[in-house]
Amino acid sequence: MDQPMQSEYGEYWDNLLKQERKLAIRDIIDSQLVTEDGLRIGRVASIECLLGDDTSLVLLHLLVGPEALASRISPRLRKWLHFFLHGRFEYKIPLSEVKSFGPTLLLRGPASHYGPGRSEQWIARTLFRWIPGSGYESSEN
Amino acid sequence: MRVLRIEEVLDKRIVSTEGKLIGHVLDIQVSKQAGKSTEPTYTITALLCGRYGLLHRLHVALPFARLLKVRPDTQIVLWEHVLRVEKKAIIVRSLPDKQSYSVPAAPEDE
Repeated sequence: MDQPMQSEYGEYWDNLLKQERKLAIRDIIDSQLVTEDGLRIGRVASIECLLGDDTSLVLLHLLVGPEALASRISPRLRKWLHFFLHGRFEYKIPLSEVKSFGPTLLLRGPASHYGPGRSEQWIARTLFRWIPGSGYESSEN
Repeated sequence: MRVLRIEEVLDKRIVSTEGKLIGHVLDIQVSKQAGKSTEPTYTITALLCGRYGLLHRLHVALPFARLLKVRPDTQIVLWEHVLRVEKKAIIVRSLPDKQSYSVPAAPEDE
């Protein structure tokens, strides 16, 4: 078995590290979205892209919600879910809203600016407020 | 111009115009480019495929290489070689060998 020379190994590790540091879809998809005010509003289910006439592919929106997730499993499943949900729980967040990429995707705005955050607030306001000990009143004050 | 979802590219077969199978898309490299406006644009620059592409996708390529002292070379197909995205495959231009699809000096991310 041919052993590579030391310099070749060095170059190999450099290339591997460089490749690992590059932004890739694996760093975006399924990542947790965290808003400016520290709230977790969901995970990236899919990404919407624009395929140009010159075959350039630009990432446009992060998609959050069950329909987007279903389309990753099967396009047929997405059609079924769309029939029942009509896209009510699918949210698009422009990629320009992402402040930093890392273990979590940090967004520029507070949770109230984004669809998933608003739906969670609605659940807290209309459902969880009636649960004893929810602390709803204290959070209002 | 058409809008598509990332799953329409991920896991697709990469086929040359001659019908030769290059591999399957296991990961996609993205480049952040500062546009004329203040908002940056994120463009896809390369497709990762090959036996070890899956290790990169699962974030374990580097630990795997260190632990087992192997060289998980991942094949890179630059997006500039892509001619069209079809329903079942991504068609790339025919090049003499698989190595020709990658360029050593890839543009750095910002």
